[in-house]
Amino acid sequence: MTADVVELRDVSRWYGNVVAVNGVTFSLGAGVTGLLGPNGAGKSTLLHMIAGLLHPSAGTVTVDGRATYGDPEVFRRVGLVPEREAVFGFLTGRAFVRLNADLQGVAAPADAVERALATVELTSAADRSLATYSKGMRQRAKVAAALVHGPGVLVLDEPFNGMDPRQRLHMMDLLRSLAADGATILFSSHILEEVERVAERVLVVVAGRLAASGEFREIRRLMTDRPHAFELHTSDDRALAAAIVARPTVAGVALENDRLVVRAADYAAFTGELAGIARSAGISIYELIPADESLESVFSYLVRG
Amino acid sequence: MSTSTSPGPTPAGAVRQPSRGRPAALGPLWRLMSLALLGRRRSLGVLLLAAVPVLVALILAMAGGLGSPATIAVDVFATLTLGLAIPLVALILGTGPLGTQIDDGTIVYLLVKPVPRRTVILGAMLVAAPATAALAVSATLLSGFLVLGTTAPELQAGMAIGALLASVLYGTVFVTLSVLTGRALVLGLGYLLVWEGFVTSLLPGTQILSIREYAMAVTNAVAGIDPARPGSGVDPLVAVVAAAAVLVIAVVLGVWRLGRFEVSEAG
Amino acid sequence: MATPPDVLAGSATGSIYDLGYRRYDGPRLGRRHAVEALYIYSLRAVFGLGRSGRAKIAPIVLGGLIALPAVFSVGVGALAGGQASRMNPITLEGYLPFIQTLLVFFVAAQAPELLVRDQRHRVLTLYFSRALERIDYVSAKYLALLTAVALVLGLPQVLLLIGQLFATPSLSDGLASVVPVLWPVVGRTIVVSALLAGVGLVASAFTVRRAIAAGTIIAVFLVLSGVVTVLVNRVGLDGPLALVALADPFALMDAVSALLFGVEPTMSAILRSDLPVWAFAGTAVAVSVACPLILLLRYRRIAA
Repeated sequence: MTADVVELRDVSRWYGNVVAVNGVTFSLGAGVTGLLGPNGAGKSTLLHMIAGLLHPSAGTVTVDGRATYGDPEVFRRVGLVPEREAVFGFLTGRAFVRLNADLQGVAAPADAVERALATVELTSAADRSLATYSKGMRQRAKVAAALVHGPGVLVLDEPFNGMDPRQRLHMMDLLRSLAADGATILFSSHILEEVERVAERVLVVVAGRLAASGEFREIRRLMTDRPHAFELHTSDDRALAAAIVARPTVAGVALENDRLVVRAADYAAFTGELAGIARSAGISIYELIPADESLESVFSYLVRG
Repeated sequence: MSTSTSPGPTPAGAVRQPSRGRPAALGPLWRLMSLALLGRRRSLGVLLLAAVPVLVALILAMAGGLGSPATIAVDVFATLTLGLAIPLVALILGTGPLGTQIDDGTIVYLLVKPVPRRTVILGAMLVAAPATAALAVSATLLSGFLVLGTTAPELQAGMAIGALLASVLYGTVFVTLSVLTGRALVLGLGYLLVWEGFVTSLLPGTQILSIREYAMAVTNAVAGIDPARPGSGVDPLVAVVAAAAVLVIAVVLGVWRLGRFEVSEAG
Repeated sequence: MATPPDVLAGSATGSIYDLGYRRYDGPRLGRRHAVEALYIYSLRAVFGLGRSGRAKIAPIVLGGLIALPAVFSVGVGALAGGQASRMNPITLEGYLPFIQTLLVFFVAAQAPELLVRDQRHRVLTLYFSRALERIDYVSAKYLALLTAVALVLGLPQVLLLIGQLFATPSLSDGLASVVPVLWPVVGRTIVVSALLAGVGLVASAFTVRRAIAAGTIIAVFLVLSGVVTVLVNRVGLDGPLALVALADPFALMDAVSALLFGVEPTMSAILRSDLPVWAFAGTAVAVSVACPLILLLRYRRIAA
């Protein structure tokens, strides 16, 4: 049983008035986890904090139990593949990976470099300068540079940006095989399908907050299957409550504060039925208000995105 | 924290060693930054600038100058070498290693390493200052030789030492400037033109804060020349102390700022 | 439920809706208007109009500083009367040496704004996919910067002319003193502006970083001027060596002033070399003509 390798506890990060990350708590173990969220949600900030580049304004970020910021040793355990495209164009692929190996203090750097290059399948192009690489090759070079010191944790910021389908498949296979060897991998994306295909777990981040976490399929199910609550104001709440509680689409009714609160298990079907039920019972509906609109809008935004 | 039990792809047979400390990381950093400086345009510009005083000295030597060789040599040195070539070369080479990397974001690769940040900036300074000094001193010696031949050794030594001092100071200061701000080139030019070119000649009191004045003071002291205008210029001893102070401040400031540097995200 | 939108084209399985968007089928103004629009846009951009406040600081401050000696001079003349104005060193003919460095700063600050950003963000494709030809782009930008520099240089001269107009007791005397200088003022302004704008734009056309372009412009003027000054002070420049003096841009500008106003040149490069004043002025004109040609060549070959 592996202890969770990466742990964030109530982590927040702000820049002046702007809160980029707000009270995020999660932990990661071996395997591939996807960090999903729209642009500006704070994904890069979280990744940079895990990589030890930023310090959290509040909370703790630890890797193997050690705080990530201010501890140079953390850099040996974490490999970061940054989002920005620029690399040292004047270096060859091999020289670039070798530079990273040297700076990491890897023993037997030449072998480590060759191994890393082989893992990303860049050995044949390794002697060309990075400026001549295609975008996919450059991403692979960045991954090789992040792997050369054999980190336990690999953090990738939007690794599939701008990749064509073949390169994307290749990268996904690579991540999966690394995870199978026991690495903890966290990558960010704003595209649902990418995360779905390669991540076992998903962390959903919206506006700096953790909106959902867990297995992707389960979250998907929860989004559509969770009971939705409505508030109704009608001409005869009690009679309507009696009529709808018999329906299988309704999970529960409550009469509170002279309103009728309905929890619907299948909201699409429920909303379709409601008008008919009310009319046959001779009841007029004055108001129908979804009670948890904000969360609903969050999830529906994500599903659309 | 035993390293052998942590998960993750470990190159077979590699034993992770404790941090090897500065010397080992400095080498690769130094090589990287030297390579970063060797761009075609940058090298060309820098060589051209350093060649200017040499070419002028050549013309003066061939055409026969007005005034004694010593005054000619000092004129060329003060106006062209110290006044133009060295600061501009230092500006180009100083903002090169770290400045461009901060600008395009590749500095990330240097910061996510178990290398102390002071090593990173020291590496940059150890590339910029010596490169500038090499060009500056060669240009000075060459132009001095062309005008003076092998005569006036104190003057030639004085100019060379002044050039060395100026290169080291300018180079270090501009590296720190490139870490402090994204507009290092413009601000450096502003300092050179407005402060050193204008303000210090208007307000002699401000000469205590000018690298050019330090270098000139040292040159004059070694060469045994009195300053051109009595009462202007800085006392050589004061100049050396001030120069040392500027150097220390630049290094400390640079280390401190890079230590706090946070990579801006694309969001 | 709202009524579904009108269908623009459709079948059983898919439709395109008519949302009221219209194509533009009217007359298109064509190439000349495109060039004019780019010219006006570029001229405004030089002064930071149409951009944030920060973009206006440099041109306004520098423009103000360039006009300052003229304001000073006119003020002194108005307040202190005839004797002071006779001792006043700030004259119309000799105005350039006071502000030529500031003019270089102005061009170094603003010329990159015109060309570098388009290259850096690769929008040249957008420009050339319109009715605009490459020669149009270059001409518009060049003329815009030339106009801007001419305005900046012209303002203080106009102020001095006005001062001169009212310095004499009668208006007709004033006019008599001003009218003969009008053509030299215009001529000098045009040539100097063309020279500065040309060099500034050529330096900006080859890089994607504004700071490098600005630095190059300043360095070129400083280095050339410094080198020639040292040489001229130290060496008797005769024979072919004297041609070196033609490299001093400030001397070129001074020669234009001297030639047009009929006064003695002040720059040591002219005084100490044996070359006639018209050689310098001719070089100035030649460089002013060569620069836009270089720009044309560069933009003919640039990838877009």
